[in-house]
Amino acid sequence: MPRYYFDSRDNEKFVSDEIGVEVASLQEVKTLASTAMAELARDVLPGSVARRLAIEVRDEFGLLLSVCLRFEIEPARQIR
Amino acid sequence: MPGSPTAALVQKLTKTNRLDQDDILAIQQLPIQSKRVPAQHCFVHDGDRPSESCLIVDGFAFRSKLTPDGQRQILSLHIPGEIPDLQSLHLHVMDHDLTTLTECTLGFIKHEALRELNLRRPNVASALWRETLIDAAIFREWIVNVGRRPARVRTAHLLAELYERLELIGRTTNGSFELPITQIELADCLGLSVVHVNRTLQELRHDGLIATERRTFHLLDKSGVEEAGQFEKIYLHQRPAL
Repeated sequence: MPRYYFDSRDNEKFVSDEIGVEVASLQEVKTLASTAMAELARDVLPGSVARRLAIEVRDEFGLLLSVCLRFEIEPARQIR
Repeated sequence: MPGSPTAALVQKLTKTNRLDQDDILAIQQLPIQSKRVPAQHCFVHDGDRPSESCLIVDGFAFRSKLTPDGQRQILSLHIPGEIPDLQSLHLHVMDHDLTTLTECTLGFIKHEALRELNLRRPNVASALWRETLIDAAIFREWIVNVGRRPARVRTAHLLAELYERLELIGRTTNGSFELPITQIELADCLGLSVVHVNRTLQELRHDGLIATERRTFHLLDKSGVEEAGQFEKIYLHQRPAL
């Protein structure tokens, strides 16, 4: 099975995946990246105002795909 | 490190319980059938009706359950000297699987022999009861861990707990312990994806709290790991009961 590396970005903070994971198919790569994004978001979004999160998947040939999430709290009216 | 099967049990029980020489002698005379079992071998299955309980003499094992869609949750990790299916002595149908994490030496003890020992040596019966209560206390903490703690805290807590438990049976050296666990198994312990666990371990390494080699975890800053994991060891009840 090919090995994929899932680097993550949380605003400016970059965490490189130095271990990687063996994944059987591209579909599973997408599912795994999405699950990891959901878990990262759950950990960091509460208490945030604006956040850009990304999980960038690399294989032996370089960057393969990114999963991105932009989080904002948009006030709809004046809140005291 | 595997000695006689009963040595592992005596070592564990005498650390957390007060037993006299006759109690220890009675444990040493327990008929135990040792077997070498490969890693990843499910040795007691959900739905089984065991007539014996299984002592871990050497190696690591885990309890787990599978959801209908195939997701596995590891419920607990077990170390030498523990009898993870001791409850089958009183609860006759297994409600989860027991699997070896690594190659293990397992000691099978007939339920009749355990019942007879419990009747003859009430101190031993109390000690075994106390072990199952500590087991339950560890479960309560595990629920808080997977239910309420973010990944970083969750991971640090698990490492801090394993260190304490392994230290008690003399299986740590200078802040390090051996735990040959795969990425997937660790993720299934923590209820997280492999990717998020790798990311979290990377952060803990980056912060100088841990270092990892193939099968070894080094807690470079043990109190830092305990703090990161909100770890308070009271629930392990490692001191003998009065």
